[in-house]
Amino acid sequence: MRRRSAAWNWLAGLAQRPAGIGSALFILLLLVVALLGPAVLPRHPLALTDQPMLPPGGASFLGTDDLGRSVVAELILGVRVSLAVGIVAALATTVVGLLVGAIAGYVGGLIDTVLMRIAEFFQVMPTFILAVAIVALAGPGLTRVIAVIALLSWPQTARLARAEVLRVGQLDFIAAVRSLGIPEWRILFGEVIPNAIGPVIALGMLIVGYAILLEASLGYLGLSSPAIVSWGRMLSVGQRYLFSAWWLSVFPGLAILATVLAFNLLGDALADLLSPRSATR
Amino acid sequence: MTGAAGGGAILEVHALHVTYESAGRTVHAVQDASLSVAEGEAVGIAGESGCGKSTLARVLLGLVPARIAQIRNGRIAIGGVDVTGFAGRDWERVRGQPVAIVFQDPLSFLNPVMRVGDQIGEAVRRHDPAATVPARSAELVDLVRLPRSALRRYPHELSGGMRQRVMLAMALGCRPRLLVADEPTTALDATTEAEILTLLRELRRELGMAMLLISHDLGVLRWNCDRIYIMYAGHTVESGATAEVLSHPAHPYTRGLAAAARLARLPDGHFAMIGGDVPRLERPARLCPFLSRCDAAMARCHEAMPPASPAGANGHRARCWLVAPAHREAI
Amino acid sequence: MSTAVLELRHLSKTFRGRGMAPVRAVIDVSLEIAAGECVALVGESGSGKSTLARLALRLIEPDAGEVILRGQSLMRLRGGTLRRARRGIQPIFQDPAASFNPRRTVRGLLSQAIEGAGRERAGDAELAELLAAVMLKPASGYLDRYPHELSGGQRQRLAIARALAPRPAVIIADEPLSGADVSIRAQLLNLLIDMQARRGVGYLLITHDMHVARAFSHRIAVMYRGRIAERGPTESVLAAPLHPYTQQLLAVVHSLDRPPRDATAKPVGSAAGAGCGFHPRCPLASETCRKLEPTLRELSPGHSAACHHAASREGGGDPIQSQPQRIPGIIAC
Repeated sequence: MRRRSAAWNWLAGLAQRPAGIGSALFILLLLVVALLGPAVLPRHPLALTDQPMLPPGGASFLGTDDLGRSVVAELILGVRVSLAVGIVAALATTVVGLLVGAIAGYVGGLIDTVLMRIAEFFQVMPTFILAVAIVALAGPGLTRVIAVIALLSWPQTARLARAEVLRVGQLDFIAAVRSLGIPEWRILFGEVIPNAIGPVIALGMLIVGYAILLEASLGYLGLSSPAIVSWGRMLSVGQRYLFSAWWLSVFPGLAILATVLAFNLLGDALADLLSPRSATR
Repeated sequence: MTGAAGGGAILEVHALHVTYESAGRTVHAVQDASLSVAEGEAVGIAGESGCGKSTLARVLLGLVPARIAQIRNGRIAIGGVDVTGFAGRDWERVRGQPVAIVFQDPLSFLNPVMRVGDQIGEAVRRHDPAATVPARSAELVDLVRLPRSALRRYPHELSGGMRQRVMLAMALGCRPRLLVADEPTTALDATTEAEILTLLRELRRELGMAMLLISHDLGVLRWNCDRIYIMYAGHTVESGATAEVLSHPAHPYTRGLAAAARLARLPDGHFAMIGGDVPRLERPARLCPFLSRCDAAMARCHEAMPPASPAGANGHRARCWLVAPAHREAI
Repeated sequence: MSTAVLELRHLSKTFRGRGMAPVRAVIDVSLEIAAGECVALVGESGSGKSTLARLALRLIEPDAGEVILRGQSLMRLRGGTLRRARRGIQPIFQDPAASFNPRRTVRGLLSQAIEGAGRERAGDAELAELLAAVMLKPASGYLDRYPHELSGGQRQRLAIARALAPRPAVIIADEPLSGADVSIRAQLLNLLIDMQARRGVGYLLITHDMHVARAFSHRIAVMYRGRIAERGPTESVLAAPLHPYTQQLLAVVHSLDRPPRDATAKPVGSAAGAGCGFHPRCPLASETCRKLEPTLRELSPGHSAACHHAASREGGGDPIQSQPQRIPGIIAC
């Protein structure tokens, strides 16, 4: 048997899950579009050169909106917003949730109780309504949206991380390492967290999808800056012309659906792949 | 004790070859296993992990899906019926009655959200439609020496030994003529193990039921089986009356195994052990599978697979050139 | 005895959980292990053996009592001093699969064991020497493997190598051989014997296998419901067990050469309130046993038992003498 690197095994495992590999490729495509998209567009995407309200087909491809902007170009710009919000929010959530959960689970006692009470406080808040309220009061802005999402979703990650840390912490190998005189903080970061992080990363993927959806919802309600093109904002405009220009709603809707679905499928595949069972195989 | 292959055999396995698919590889788990169990007889299968004894037990009752395990060769007959070609629902004709099976880990075979009494009742309803379920269930818990109160409990409320008794009660609910017990006491501590083994001895005496006891523990087999088969790398390498085989082992593997089980000391103070590793089972063996670890190997062993040959009294046979007639003549 | 490298003094531990009756896992247990000595700790599951091991390793805090390693009490140590001191007692666990971080290679696992909290790197030569000591040769074939790529026997040998790496005075092995095939069991015991001879390591071997206890230990301690029921030199305990519980344990041993006695089910849920913890299962139980907790008393040199009736053997009219199930010859099993 040939030995392979952990990363190789990991990719091989992902390849065995068609939904996982499919969604990973789709997300990769989105990232490429987000990075290169505007640069390869023939002209500035928001240039009002086309006729307004052109249906799909012909030169405009997916049609134009009420101001004569190309829907394709807007979708491509929207990828940037959606991915930025989704990924940054999920990253912030995961880092905060993992740290809080790991410390609560590992240290236990009073610290655990206090941290988990705080988590509960944030968890019982009605996320969407709170997000609407904050943005409505403080004004639109991507940073604000990201902050709201992270603030309201870390408890879920923290709870999962805590449960995983508790599970790993009582395994024999932790006792063995402790008997070797390794300091506690090195046990936590070198032994416990690497074995507890899999499901947390998988949950992170789900949070990306969730954040994209929340940002789109805020945009749809008109709670995003008019200066930024986002899929939610496109929907908000599109619903006004739902019966005369269906393409203004359907394409951004499909974009949101496909992206959120891809992150969810990838999350599921990763949950499978990174579960403790397959790690110790 | 009646020897092998008599007319009253409840189970007969002849030259069985089973492969299974594991992680994309084909493993020849059982390569050439032959054994028989007469009505009312207690027979043991001994061997270390990976010798194929558990695969054998599961294949006997068609418990491994056909896409995983395949019978390549040989024959299995239960109560005179050839089951080798059985598929799907055919197996219902032999499972439970005449052959029931209990495993090492009862917890994974009991429904965690169903009371023990209901699970025993279900076994009774399925295999004994004429019986009054509560009465028969009560009879069965009495039979395995459980308090009647156990019927109202959930599996997790019982100790390991009590769960194994519940599994036994469910198996006995089918009124089997043969009980296959695959490492039934391995997960239990010594005291509880002794209790379950005592119970099995008593049950066999009361019910006249045959038993196929599969274990890695020669001490357990020694006092619970009339006859024993030693398995190594998918082959039944030695068989005969338990006392005879274990006190006068003919096959070098059995000798090594018995010495290791006794924790016999060598002159240098170390414990006797079998050197080397179990062979890979990726292809069927052409020569004696123990050859690479055998300290009695001769030129003959490198030429052909030894046949099963008489090795002593009471139907004692071993598959080794040391006891093969050709070898004896040469001497 | 001042020669003891590890002394457990009056250790007690009660587990309290919410909504649970407190469990007295270990009650006033004292035990000592001399350099190069092997003490076997036997008893059924739930007797407190594993809790005692974890107390001795200071993985859990005792409610009372002390763990003294080479004359120094571990109870008063904190921080770095404790971390350095605890390298003197190393564990080997039952399940070799759960004993290693699945994300570290053999090299990583052993380097960690050699270095501890220290900063200097372990060299390949040192790692190879350690692997050779447990017969994992050549080292190059193992260093870059993950534990799940090793067989069960190889993993248990790796566990021995890791336990030896910090050069401990005592190894506490919790059922290291259960689940191992008999040929592997002999192999592992041989390794432990070699380490004892070469490095003078002492062992606390927790086992329910009387064969192993007989073959490997110098002294045996029998635990029942959190207490030591009997302890003494191995030959003496096996040849003339004083406590009825030890007698029962020995009687049901399935050895190759001696038939076991039939074992009847122990009473279910018999929580002994007062008196001797064993009285509900004891054939000799008398009124005294139901009322008075027996203390551990030395009845022959180095051999003690906690049983009212064992005490009476010296005064004649020995109630146990009349028990036919005593197995004097078990040592020859």
